[in-house]
Amino acid sequence: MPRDVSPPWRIPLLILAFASLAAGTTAGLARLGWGFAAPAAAHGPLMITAFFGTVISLERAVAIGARWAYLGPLASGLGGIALATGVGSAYALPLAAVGSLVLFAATLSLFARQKTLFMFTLLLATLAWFVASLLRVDGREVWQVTPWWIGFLVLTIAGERLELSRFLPPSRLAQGLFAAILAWLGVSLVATALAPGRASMSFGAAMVVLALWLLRHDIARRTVRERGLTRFIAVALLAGYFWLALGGAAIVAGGGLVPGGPSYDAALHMILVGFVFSMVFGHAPIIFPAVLRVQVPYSPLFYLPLAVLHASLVVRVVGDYSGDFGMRSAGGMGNALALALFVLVTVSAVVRGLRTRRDRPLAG
Amino acid sequence: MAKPRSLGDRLRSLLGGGERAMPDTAPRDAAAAEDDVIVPESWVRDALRKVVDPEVGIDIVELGLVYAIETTPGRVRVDMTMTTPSCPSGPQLRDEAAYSIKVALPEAREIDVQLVWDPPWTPDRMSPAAKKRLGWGNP
Repeated sequence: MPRDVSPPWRIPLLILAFASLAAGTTAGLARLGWGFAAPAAAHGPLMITAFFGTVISLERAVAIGARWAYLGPLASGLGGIALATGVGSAYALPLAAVGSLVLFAATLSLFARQKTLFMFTLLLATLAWFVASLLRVDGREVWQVTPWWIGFLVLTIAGERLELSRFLPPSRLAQGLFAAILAWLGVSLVATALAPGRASMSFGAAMVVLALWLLRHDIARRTVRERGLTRFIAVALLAGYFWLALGGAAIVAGGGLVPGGPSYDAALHMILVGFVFSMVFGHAPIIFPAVLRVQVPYSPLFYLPLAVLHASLVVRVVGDYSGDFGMRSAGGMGNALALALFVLVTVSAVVRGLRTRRDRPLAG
Repeated sequence: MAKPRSLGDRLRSLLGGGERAMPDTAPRDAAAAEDDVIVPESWVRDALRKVVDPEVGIDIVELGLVYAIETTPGRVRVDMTMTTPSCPSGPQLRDEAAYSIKVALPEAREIDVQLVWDPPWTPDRMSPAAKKRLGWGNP
């Protein structure tokens, strides 16, 4: 087995990711009319490929413990910096493509070790990102590849949750249904590549069914009865499934993921903020210790950014559908505030962990 | 039979009770005598029960993630697994397990916890209590 990268050397990769998150968030606020001097057009790529792509690739690299796999987060992270600063921006798309290819290869190596439906789901997720990256290199617009990006993130989470559902294993019929949803999603994605826009309605419908499947089979329904961090994770997930279903329905109701109408902003953010970020908030206290070997002791304060995230998303979506741009902007600012609170609460928990448990093993 | 209160107490009673016989500055041969203690496997298992998978709120022993415990004089070796190699928490939980043994059983001078992937974990490895807590058998 090739040697792993030690935790201190992973910090620069996380910094790249969080720099992209900061740049992506201010770019999003600039789009909503807030006076930030940020590359508004780069909002989507910064958030999806540069932040999520880097974080997920880093997490996967830690799991397989091989040095080459860290080239993935390095490439997508540097691509994010290129996007955010404009320096070497011509390399942003190729870097994202390289990052997605490395993540695909890393996941393929895991799939070779464990040929299961959940690992196949993770593999499909990374393939979706790789295809999206290639389509971008080929000149497709952001909105045209958005379903692929959503597929990348949603399938990554779905694969991980399917894996955890083994603690209360779904029936063969339920697993068959999951596989059918996966096939449906795959076909829908290919359709969106051929005919962007309306073809994404089928994709949206698949999201609704996937959300219902996850809601029915996720162990979060059980673990929400536990206490502390375990309950917090479950709450974050269950709230996320609500938004995933609603976001999928919004894609269908809006006639597909096409920019211009109210449902584009609403559907995208219901899925990416309401579902994906909710999951991120829930799992940060597990992922940070795994990647950096720091303790993130649970605190009820963790609920604060989560509550702000969901409440501000309601404001944003109501603003979207009511045509009230001010409300939509305020909701967007609330989303950004939730992210800032999340970083603040997480960092303060890390500091608390360092103070109270200095004797713990921090490096592997 | 009533159990001694803590694992340290248990070891001390095994060694004949009273204060720890060997201070840190004890001569090499005296320390070696302490090394002769074989920590019972059940104590190691108890120490590992402190390592909880935060996702489910259940410890790694109950989840069936501990495959083997081997104790020889002064040494503890544990083989444990994760439910999947795609989980990034593996190395961290391995270190948590080693730390937990170190804290509970300071007499174990050498602690070796290995992550193993063969055989792969299956849900059947969970204890009946863990299964019940996660809702097995309930519609």
